[in-house]
Amino acid sequence: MGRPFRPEPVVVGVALIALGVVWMLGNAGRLDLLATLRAWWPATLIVWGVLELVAYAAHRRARRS
Amino acid sequence: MRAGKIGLLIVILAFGSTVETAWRVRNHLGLDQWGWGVLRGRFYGPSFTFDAEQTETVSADTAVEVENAFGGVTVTAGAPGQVRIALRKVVFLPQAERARAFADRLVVQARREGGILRVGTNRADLERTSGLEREVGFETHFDLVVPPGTAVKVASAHGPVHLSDVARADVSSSFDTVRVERVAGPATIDARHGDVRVEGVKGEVKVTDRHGDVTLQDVDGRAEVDMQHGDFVATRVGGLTLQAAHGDVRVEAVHGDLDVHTQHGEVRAHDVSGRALVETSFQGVTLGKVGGDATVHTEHGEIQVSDVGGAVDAKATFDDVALARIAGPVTVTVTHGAVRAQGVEKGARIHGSGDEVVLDGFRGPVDVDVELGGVRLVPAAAVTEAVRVTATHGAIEMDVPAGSRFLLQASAQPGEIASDVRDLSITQTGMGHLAGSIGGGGAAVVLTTHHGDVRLRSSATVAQKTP
Repeated sequence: MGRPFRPEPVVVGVALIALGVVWMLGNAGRLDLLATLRAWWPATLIVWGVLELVAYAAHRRARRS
Repeated sequence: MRAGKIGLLIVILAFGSTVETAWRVRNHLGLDQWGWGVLRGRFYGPSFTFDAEQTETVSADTAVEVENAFGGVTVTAGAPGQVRIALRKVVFLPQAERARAFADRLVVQARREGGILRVGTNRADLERTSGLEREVGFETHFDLVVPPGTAVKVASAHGPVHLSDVARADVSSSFDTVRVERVAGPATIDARHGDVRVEGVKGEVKVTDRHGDVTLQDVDGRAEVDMQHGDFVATRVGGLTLQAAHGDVRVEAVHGDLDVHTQHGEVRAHDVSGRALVETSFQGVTLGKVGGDATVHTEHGEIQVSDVGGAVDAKATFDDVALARIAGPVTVTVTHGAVRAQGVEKGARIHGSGDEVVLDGFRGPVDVDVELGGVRLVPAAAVTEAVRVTATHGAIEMDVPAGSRFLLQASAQPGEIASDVRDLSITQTGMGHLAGSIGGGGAAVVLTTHHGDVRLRSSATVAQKTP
């Protein structure tokens, strides 16, 4: 039996990638960094919540099997 | 929940709070009230200006209402039958093409509602951003030419307003100057942070201002002003009611009544045809040439009143009262201050404390009550009317001109009573007490002092001693 799925590292990884991409596009003048961060930062909580549900479902499936 | 999850949640929420705070700082702190950049805001950095113009045909007696948020508004009179609207758009963006594209979306909105032409812009639509783009700062400066005799109403938030040659003016402004000139009817101005200047209004004027100076000039109707934190100047107005605080007041030539209620401000008024009522605190009042009655009250300030055609009622604390050439009766109450009056024609009732009372060249009945101070009376003519003086810790000196007729009762406890008036016929005398008559008697002259002397001097004697 493998290690249980933990969403936190995924959330941190995705958030860091998204932050880097947005920051880079902001420096390139393609978008407004602050406006974009302000609009999209709550998505981190949504993604994390979805991953928690996925982890919970995976954990239940593993216990049944 | 594990500690790692809690820590991650705190980090995410802290990050979000930081972003939200930065967003608010950037978008809501751009300009201070003096127009200087405080932080990097919407109205900062490179900008581009674009002009637009349109003309609206209107019927006679159509009123014009202008609403503007950021930018100046100028309205003046031109040809009849049409309203020319010039809009200068200033867009704060770093690239000209982006600024032009934005300015193209910014248009004049002129719509008729009843007998009113409402003029504005589609600013509200443009300010609804998608959230992915930075809020663009832009100014809209209106320059309107309206038909002669047009009633104009302007609502402006950030920008100067200048109206001239209109039928009536109604202006509300928040953060800049308001100037209204040559109005055929009434003018109403509601300002927050900015100076207000009104000139040449035929009707009544109402001004409200919180932080700024107010200047009125050549107003035919009555003016009503409510202001704070600014100086006030009025020249040639048809009556004035002023509520003010924290600013000096200068008024010249009021063709009607003057009512000034202020605090922490000096008041100087000259040439009031009607009555004058002035109240202030912590500063002095100078009032000259009043046709009617004058009422002046101040705390911690000096009062100077001269050339009044009616009665004078003055109340002061911790400073002096000086009166000159008062045609009507005088009532003065002073606490911790002197009273010096010259040329009082119809008598005086004075209650003072802490300093002397001097009546020089008075006529009519006199009633003086002084604590901790002396009294000096110099009549302008023969004394024939009642005089009552009570003093504590001060002397009473009274000149007696030739031809005076009165019954004298003088008391000095303890003190001396002295007289060089030859006509004095003493009927009763004792320790610190004297009764008698001058010129065969008449009205009662009662001079009473505690801890002081009483001296009566004939006017001829005075003239010899003080050439």
